[in-house]
Amino acid sequence: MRITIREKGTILLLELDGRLDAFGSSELAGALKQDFDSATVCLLLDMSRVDYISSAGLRILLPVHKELMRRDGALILARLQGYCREVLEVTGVADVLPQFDNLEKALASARRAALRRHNRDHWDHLETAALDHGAVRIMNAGGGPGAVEVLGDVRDVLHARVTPDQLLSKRFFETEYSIGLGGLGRAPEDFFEIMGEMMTIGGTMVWLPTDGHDTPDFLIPKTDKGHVMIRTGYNISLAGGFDEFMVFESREPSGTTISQLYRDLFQLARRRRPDCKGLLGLALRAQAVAVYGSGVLRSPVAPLAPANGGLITDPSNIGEWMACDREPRHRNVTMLMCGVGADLAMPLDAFDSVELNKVFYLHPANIGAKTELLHNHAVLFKEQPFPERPTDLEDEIQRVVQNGEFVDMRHLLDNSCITRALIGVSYIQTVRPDPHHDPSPA
Amino acid sequence: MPDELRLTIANRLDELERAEAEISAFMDRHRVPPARRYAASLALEEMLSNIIKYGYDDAAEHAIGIRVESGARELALTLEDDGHPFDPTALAAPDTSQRIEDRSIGGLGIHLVRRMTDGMTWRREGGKNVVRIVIRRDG
Repeated sequence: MRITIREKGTILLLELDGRLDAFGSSELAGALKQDFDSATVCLLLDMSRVDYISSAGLRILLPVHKELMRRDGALILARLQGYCREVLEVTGVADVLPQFDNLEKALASARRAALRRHNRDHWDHLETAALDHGAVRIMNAGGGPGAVEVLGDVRDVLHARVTPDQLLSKRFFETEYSIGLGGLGRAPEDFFEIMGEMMTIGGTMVWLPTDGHDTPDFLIPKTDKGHVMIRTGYNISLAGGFDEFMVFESREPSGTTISQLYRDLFQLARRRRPDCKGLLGLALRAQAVAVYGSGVLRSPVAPLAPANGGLITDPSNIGEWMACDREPRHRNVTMLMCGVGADLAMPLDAFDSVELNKVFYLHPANIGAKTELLHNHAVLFKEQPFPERPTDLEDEIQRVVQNGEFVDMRHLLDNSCITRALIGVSYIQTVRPDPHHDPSPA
Repeated sequence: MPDELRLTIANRLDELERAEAEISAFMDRHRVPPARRYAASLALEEMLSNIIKYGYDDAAEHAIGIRVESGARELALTLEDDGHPFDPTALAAPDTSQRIEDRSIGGLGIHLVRRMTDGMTWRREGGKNVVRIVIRRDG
């Protein structure tokens, strides 16, 4: 077993070359004894040259994993070979150890874990900022540069002119933070005429079929991530990870609206983030005091298009096509939101205008949205207590999804109100066509 | 080319490497496909290390007999040891409802072998444990 130290600090990155059999494992144990110390928060093993692992190898890894969990860190495996992966799966070890097919992603994950630990240790010294409607505590989230990736065109939705040949399939794991229009199903006829508001967050896909029942359908693939295909006519994803996490507290007990929150964040970005070009991608876990939802009532596809040839949002069509809440649909729920916002005080000329126009439209039910354009979807759960010192959005979202009692999913109106939130903020640098769709027809 | 390999090792962990090298060369000669080679190597290491670590009640040197037979459809690995009686096929499957980090780690190797091979039998014969493991070539 050849063991090469590639990085040593809070992250210990070891490249292993050889067999993790009884002998190789004792060599690894020796190396860990020397280099795994009290400063180690993440152990990342590059397994690309390990063609064999036995239970002796697992016996070394499991106690290290336990110790790193205790330290709020992680043992991460990168580039496992097929048979080794099988050994981990058969023994159940695969369920507890994060694994990545490429080293860069594994390193990014290790850096996030190290940051999470750092932010927890330095909580009282984190940057804070007062906003018009509340206050935030700001943490480096280690991600970026952020991008919005677009599939389809929002104008095809508004004109109800989506045709079967415009449907795209996208592998699920690539859409972790995304919103759009779509559904699940094998063949286009299963979902084409019942597509509705859709969202993916925290490894869960939720959609609101326009089948007249007004009941969301959700799916949490456990082992087949990457095999489930999402069918979509229009989808926007946040790519590149989050630049910052912010813990937001509203000044008013009655809450801060989503438009006030975006406006505050735009202002804050203008003040302290010269790299902000006027577009924010947000994902958040919030305590929502009032949720106003909306959604399409019909699948905006060509065969169902309005007879008068207008937009589905035209006054003569909107009643039939859109449901918009005038009273809160839900009060006091835990909310996971994903979306994008454009600051209209900024020129937005840094973005490809063709792509940008596929993303944004002025939603008819959005009141007072003149200084910003927002597009957010939310999935709602029975209220769960807000964590005291949350430092990792992905962890918190997972917790909500795993422990939560699912309530609803909606296109979120901007007057919805929240009191507290952990927000992942992505300062979008690019709007580009989504490169990840499957080219085979849906 | 003989279809059988016979080998005797002492009950020391440093003997594992020699056993692995011999069997690896045997499998080369008999063109065993990679996935099946992996299963055979794993079975050999897990079963031998189990015998060496837990099989004996004294500190004396013992001989462990290894036989590998290569047939048209399967490989068979037979291990004979004069340790105390131990039937690996009677070992309870791990409680998979528990997370792996909360489970007792004993028996992990034998469980792994049973999952990655195609059959395991045990008998006590002439004061010895005789374990036979079958690995189908197309498995």
